[in-house]
Amino acid sequence: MLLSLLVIIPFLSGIFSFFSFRFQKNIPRWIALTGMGLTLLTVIRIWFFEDYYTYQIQSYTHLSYQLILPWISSFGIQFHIAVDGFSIVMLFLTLFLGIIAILCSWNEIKKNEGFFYLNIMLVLMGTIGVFIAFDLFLFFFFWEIILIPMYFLISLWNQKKEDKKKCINIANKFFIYTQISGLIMLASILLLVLNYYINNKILTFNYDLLLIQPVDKSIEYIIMLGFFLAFIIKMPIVPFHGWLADFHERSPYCGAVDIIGALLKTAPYGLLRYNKMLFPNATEQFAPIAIFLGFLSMFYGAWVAFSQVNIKRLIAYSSISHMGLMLIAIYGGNEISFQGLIIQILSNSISTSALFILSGQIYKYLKTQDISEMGGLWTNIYWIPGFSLFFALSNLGIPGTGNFIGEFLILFGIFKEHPLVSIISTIGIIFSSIYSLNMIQKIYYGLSKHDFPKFFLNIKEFWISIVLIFALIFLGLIPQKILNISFESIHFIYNFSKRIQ
Amino acid sequence: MIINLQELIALLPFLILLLTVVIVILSISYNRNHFFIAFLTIISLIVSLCSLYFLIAIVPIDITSLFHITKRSILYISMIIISSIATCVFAYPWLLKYAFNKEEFYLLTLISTLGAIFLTISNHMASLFISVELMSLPIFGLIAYSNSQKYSLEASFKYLVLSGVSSSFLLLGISWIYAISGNLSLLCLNQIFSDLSNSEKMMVLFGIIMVLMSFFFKLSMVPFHLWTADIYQGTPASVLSFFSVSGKIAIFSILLYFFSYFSVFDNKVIFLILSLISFFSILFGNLMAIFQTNIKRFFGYSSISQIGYLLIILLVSKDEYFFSVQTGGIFLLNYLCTNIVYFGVINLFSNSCDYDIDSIHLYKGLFWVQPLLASIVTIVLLSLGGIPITLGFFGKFCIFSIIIKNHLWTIGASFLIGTILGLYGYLRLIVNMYLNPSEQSFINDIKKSNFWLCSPSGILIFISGIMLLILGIYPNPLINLINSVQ
Repeated sequence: MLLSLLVIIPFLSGIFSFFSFRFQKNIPRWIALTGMGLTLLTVIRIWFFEDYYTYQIQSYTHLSYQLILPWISSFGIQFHIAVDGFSIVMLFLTLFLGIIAILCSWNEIKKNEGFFYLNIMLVLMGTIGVFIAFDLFLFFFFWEIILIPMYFLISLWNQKKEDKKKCINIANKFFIYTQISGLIMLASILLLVLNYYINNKILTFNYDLLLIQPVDKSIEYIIMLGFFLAFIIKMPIVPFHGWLADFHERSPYCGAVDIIGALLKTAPYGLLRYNKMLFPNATEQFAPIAIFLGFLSMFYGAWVAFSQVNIKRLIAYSSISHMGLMLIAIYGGNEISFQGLIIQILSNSISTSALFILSGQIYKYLKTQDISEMGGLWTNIYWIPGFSLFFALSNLGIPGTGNFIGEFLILFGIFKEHPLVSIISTIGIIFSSIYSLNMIQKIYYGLSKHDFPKFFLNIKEFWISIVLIFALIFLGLIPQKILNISFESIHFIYNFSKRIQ
Repeated sequence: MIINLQELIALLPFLILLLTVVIVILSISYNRNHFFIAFLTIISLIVSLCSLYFLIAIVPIDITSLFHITKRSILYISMIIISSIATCVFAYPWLLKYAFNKEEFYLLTLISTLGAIFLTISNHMASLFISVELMSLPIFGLIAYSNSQKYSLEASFKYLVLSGVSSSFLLLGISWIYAISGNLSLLCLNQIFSDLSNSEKMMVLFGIIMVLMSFFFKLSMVPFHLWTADIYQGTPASVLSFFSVSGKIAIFSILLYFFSYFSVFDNKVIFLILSLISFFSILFGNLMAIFQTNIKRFFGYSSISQIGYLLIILLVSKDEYFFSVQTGGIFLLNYLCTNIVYFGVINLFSNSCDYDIDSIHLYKGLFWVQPLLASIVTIVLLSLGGIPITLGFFGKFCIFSIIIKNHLWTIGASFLIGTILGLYGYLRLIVNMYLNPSEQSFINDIKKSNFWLCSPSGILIFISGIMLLILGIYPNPLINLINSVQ
């Protein structure tokens, strides 16, 4: 029952915060924050007191901590949620960023607060659901459910009043991209399930059952491709990245942006959990193409980020570039690089979100996102330049931060399998340092273009940044804590995907 | 022709409606009383709905050679009757303001309902033709009921002419089939078809295609769709909730009956025609819906695509009878509920005005004035688009699994593209409701009428909307119900 609370609490708190809006404008955010806090407590409770490790009994994954309720029996669909170490880590990340998102939007959202927090809570609920669903239908259900509140978040709470129309267009673009990805995934899931049905005469969407029965070789590749496409559109990897930059540019800079940090991470999670596990042979065959796509988006993202004049677009492209590295880690790596991937997911989300928050602060004072209009801000602003420098450096992977550990483990892991791939990826990281430093240089150093008034960072944002910095340093200094949590699941995922072939 | 008691019981719901028609006619000629007639009509429809319960024990049953009732037809009949009830409930407040004769509305609705439910059970070409006509003739009157309004007469006239043409096609087709088979029963068609020579087969096939064309006209599939948007625009909203549902459910049920029993339809030509029609209906309906600014026209185009999805079921209904009936049931129930809510809401707003409130921009910012109502409309639109937690998602899911199970890849492609295009259209309506209201007076008018939930139409809208949500989250009862009627 404890597990179902992970979904129920965010949902109910969203509903309550929507209705409490009528009474007083401040209540919704408190309810949302309390809801997140309670969910976090639940996760901690599960983490400390339950034996959630994944272990293996004769090639059958058994998650000792799970909840199975019959749902739509005639289709063999169950409400099957379970938690293993990998999920726990992702849940911590989601909830951490969720709380930060709520804190960030604390004073920023000045209209329709109730509806805003309802949407945020629904997005978080969907994300949590994606991480704990172990029924493919349920997984798809949550995967799709995120889109609607996300659509509202983009289209309704933009920064400027005048470009409402543009926001709706971008929201539509986002929706169409993700809808295509969703439909492709639905098709692949159905193919997978029907294939299982033809072989065993059991109609089921159960992940564990589908896992032990290998897919027919003839269609394995097609199904794998469907899943892959669905995930990389959401991730996003280069040919399908069109929505991300616009999306970031327009989304409300506090609340939604941080959620993106968690939301985008559903895709690498899915790739590892579903693609790697369900289709080991096809994945192995497909690996060179995936690695190539990873390179493409890594270099392309970095180069395009270099030429951006809009801060948020720059950060978005840098995020695309890092996603490329993650894709390479998933397809080219071994167990070590998977563990690096987890650290990288965590620290990259945190540092990217922090950069977004700071860029939001800059926007708040300067009313522009255009880098060319800034310059020499170091003399005008307290704290922000220092923080930005830290997060930018962390983003490019400086030792002492989580990103360094992540990148190091990823490259180390890949080097054992494909040395050349690892070497080329290292070159990609050089570019990321170039655009990061370029950004810092153009915004904060040099002469001021205008005569800006001096200002302080908000006390709330200040503490948020401090917390984020500590999180990154924690990841950088003691990554073993995180690796311990996820070790068993990652070990299992790696072994399972290798053992079958 | 001797009818025994059991057959009479089977005819009970029909007889109740017939009796009501007679009473309504007599009452109109003796003394007009709007409230009495509306009340009588609704009650008799409910009674006839309840009397379907007695049929469950005795079906399947043949009533003479004209009708054949199965459990499945009970399901469809109940859907049609529900849509008629909804129409009468919606129409009552609308008719209160209507200047001319009000009572004939119920008469026309009843007769058309009767035609529709006879159509779902007809098993003979003669009863088929008569039922189709009985169903569509009163609709001319219903469409033209608000004849003082713009487009109303035009729509009625258009439908009259085109429906006449389609009926003549139907008749022509029937006579082609009769010329070869010498029998008007639907069941004999199957038997005869296997004994025929090739040239004769061609003729029967031609006849069948003619009949199908007439049906596709009634379902407004591409390429017989050109009338749809205009007629939707000119028809009052309360009539639309009936017009859009009952005829389509009735014709779909007869098509499903055709396609699930007869080996005639294994024919490649018919398969090709059906897939082409479905392919283009999905694409075209969704594509055109995007550009509409009138929400009644919008629903017209969207219904083309919805029925287009439904046609996919027919392609496989012979091999997968069980599953396709289940899918059809889910999809049609979704269609019924969405229709009731969609047109119910339009009707609700239109009651305070002289004309139908059917322009998109008038609904801008509805959410901030009427949150509950706007949420229900959002659910409906999401359900039409097939987003999880709504019933429409399960309809989409079932149809998608049919496509994949049977490897209908071309249709699958159009399904994918159509769904995405459709979603774009639905999202446009949805986000429109959540924008900040413009300064126009309409939205401010609504503020006064805050008690919509207390009126009968409000309750109906609320129940249908919630049904979509509940069945979307937990569709088991519905699936069990549909499985139990097979």
